[in-house]
Amino acid sequence: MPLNVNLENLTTMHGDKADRVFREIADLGGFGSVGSGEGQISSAYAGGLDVAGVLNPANTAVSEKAKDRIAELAGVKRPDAPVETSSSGNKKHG
Amino acid sequence: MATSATAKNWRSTAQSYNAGNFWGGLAIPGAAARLRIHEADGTPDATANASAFHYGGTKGGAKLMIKSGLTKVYIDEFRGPVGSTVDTLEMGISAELVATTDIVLMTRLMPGVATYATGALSGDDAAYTEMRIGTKAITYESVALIFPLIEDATEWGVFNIYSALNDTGVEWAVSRKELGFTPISFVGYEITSRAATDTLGCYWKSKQTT
Repeated sequence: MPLNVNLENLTTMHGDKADRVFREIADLGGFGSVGSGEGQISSAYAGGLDVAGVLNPANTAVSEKAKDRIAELAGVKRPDAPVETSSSGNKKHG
Repeated sequence: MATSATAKNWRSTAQSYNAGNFWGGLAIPGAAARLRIHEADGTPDATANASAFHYGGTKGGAKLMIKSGLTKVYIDEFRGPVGSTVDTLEMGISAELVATTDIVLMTRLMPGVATYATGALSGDDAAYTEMRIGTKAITYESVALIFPLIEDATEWGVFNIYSALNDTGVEWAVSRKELGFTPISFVGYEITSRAATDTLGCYWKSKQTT
């Protein structure tokens, strides 16, 4: 899956759930809401959404939890995800 | 008390006199993100922008526009304005495109109107590429004008509108004495559910300066 998601490549990965996935990524990543109305992003837009920018470790406008979910939905590995230290001292990727 | 001089700044490297490239079909950037470009040549990153479309040459470059309509607020007790409100906001890119026989390009300039098709006529071998004019759903696209900076030719200025369409149609001359071109004007439409400070687009450069 490229670091760009559109309905076509999401359908390859998620089948008939692609539209719902596109909407969720758009919402989590602050792209805007998806729909056919004014002021919305069409899920049919071939240009898609650039998820690389929102997954950038330097992007603090998107929560770590949201980045994890976006990466999961887009089928990509987060670049240089920050390492969080839990209370037990074990390290995990956030 | 003695005075001292304040340094002037002519900002000569911040001037703009390089040719840019006009792109459409770009990926929409998310919150606090920007259009991903290939730093080596200032083109949209092909991975992040797999559907990028280069609109080709222009007759005389492009004009970039951001305008807000401010309405002054007056109160009875004072004669001068005491504040302003932003009533309107516009962002646009205009140019004169010369590739008037590129039917794909011309179709993109007619959102909600033109339908592209190609093929061969049945019964003979006459291939065709066409745009039929009627009505259809209006589509928007993310567009950008990308240009090299004077201050550093390896860095780029980017004028990106997240959701735009050409609202002037197409009109061109076919002439032996004149280069055919069509004026275009891409205007931005707000994506209203984005952050209030980031609904229309972003003008930025790939260089951090103060």
